[in-house]
Amino acid sequence: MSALAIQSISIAFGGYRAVDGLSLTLQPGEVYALLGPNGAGKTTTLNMILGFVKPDSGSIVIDGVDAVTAPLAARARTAYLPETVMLHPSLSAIENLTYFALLAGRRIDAPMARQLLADAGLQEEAHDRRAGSFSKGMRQKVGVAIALAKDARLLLLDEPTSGLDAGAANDLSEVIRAASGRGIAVLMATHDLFRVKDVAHRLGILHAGRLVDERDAATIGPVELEQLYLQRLAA
Amino acid sequence: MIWRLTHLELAILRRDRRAWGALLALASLILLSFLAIATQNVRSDADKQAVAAAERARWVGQGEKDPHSAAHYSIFAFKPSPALAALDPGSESFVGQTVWLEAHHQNDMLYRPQQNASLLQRIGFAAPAALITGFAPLIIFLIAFTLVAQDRERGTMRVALGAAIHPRMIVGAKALTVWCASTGLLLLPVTAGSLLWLGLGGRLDGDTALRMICWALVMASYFAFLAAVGIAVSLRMANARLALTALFGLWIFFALALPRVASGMVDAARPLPSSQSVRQEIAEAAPAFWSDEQNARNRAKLLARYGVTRVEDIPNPRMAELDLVERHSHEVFDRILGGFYGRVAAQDRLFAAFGFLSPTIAAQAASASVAGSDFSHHRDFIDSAERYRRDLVNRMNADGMGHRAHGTERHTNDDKLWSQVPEFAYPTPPLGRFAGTALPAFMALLAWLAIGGLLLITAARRLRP
Repeated sequence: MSALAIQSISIAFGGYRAVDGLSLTLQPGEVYALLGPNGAGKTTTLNMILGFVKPDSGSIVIDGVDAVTAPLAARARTAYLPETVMLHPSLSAIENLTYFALLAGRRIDAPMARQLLADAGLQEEAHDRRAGSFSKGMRQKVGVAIALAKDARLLLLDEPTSGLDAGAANDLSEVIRAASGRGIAVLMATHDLFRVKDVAHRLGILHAGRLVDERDAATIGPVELEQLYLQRLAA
Repeated sequence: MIWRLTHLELAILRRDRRAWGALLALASLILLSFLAIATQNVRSDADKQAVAAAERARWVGQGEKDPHSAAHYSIFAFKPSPALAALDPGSESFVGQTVWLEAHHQNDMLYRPQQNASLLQRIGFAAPAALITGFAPLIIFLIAFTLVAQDRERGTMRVALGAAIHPRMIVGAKALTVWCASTGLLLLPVTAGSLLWLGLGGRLDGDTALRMICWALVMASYFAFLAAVGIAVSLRMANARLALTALFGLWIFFALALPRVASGMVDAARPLPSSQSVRQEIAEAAPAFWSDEQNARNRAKLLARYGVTRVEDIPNPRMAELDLVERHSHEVFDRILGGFYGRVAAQDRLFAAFGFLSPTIAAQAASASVAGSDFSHHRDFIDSAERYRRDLVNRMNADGMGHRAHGTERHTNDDKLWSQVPEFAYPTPPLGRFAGTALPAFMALLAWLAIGGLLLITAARRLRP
């Protein structure tokens, strides 16, 4: 069964077609990078997968569950990391993890929370610190821990490397690989061509709401990818 | 799950210094106000008991005299503070605390606590119920806004909605958090303090405990509605600034403006005559000195009652005439004063009905009724004191009428008769006896609770990231 099966989804806002006939399939453990400039429809696509907005047409099935007709059940199988993982600044990393895991229907105790945070790469000394003092990278790690706690089948990342320093971005790549290794499908919406090249299995270029190209990441080099990207956007 | 979520939301709220500080400030003010009024009531009740004992000694020790003169010498009756007066003094500050019980007159009550207000009261330091009904909405709206608006602006609401949980659970946990925080800080300490205070003072009987529970339930219901409105409005408004403006406007409208408008409308719809005009009407219907024609009619009535044709055949004609006049005044007092009090009660009922327009009015009316400090309870004391006065005067007159006395003859009696008159005791009426006046307020509170629930459900249904 596919982790994610998107079939011809379209959505328009006041006559503007934000996403137009997008189809996409992700197998368990597959990492897919959806590339595109601002306004290409990447975040709208994620919003439709999350059930925040309903597509005008088409279908989205997550791990066998129709995300349009049963958004809650679909969300139970999905973890979502926005561009900036927002945490409650007055809660510690452990408390934030407990809170968001609870919202996902999972009750976790403190030892389990510590293990998940460690798996996500957050240093132990930060586990009991309030999240208000966390860097973006540290918040990302807590976000990943939340996704792990949820035991999701699909991980959605919206511009995950934006604003991260090289070390933090590398850490995130490791975490994505680890998630993939656990059989979690990962869909990244990003315009960071080079970083995703290292971690993604497949790449798709989204332009004006349409998927204009799709490649196996192993078959294309970084320079070719940049040229292809610019060509597709210019077309 | 909702309780664990609420627990974490409470941790978030507790660590927000502004919201938590505002809650603590109001909670402290409520406790301080309770302690100030409770201390004053204890002192006042002790004074009343001491003076009442001295009054009793004065009555019994008044020496030998004509029983009707004794009825004029008479006694003061003191009104004990309602058990929950320290929580909600209601109309207590503005009504008298003692009444002079004498023959021929149903006197006005004297010594309003307002006249002896403490320094805190003089500078406008309100009672716990007034602070709760007036200012709790502001604080509750503030913490509801803090929990929701920050969540939305920070983006944590979006993350939360991306989880598998139903939005109803998120909204419910937030409303429950606001309710728990406000009830836990604004209501529980003052309720527990009051129970402790009453228990230590030996005034915690079953009825008082029941009143205490009902009072806490009234306020807790009020808080539940406010929490629901605070959360629903914060969620529905397009941005935090609009939400704060709307909530601030609701507070002014419900808690400050409407109670004043309602009071004015009640006065206009059910105006009360001045106390002077009521006294004048009584003086005309039951004059101190009768006309010759009325005297002749009174005499004819007495002759008929005794079945005689001459005044000389009545054992004690003076006393019999005084008794006749006294009983006539009872009918006058019942009609004129009873009518006046009935109009005050009608005002209270109409004000309570305005509770359907403002939850603050509903909470105010229900609170005073449960605390036993509304006008219905005060009237019960007035009626009780008046029954005692009539019984006392009738006993004195009956003793006189039972002994022959003509011309300059006078029948006298002494402490044997005076001590047969039982001491005045006022048992606090049980909860529920006067709930009728505030019934519209209780119904309104229930209606507001239902509205609050609907608002929450609608807000959850329309919740978007």
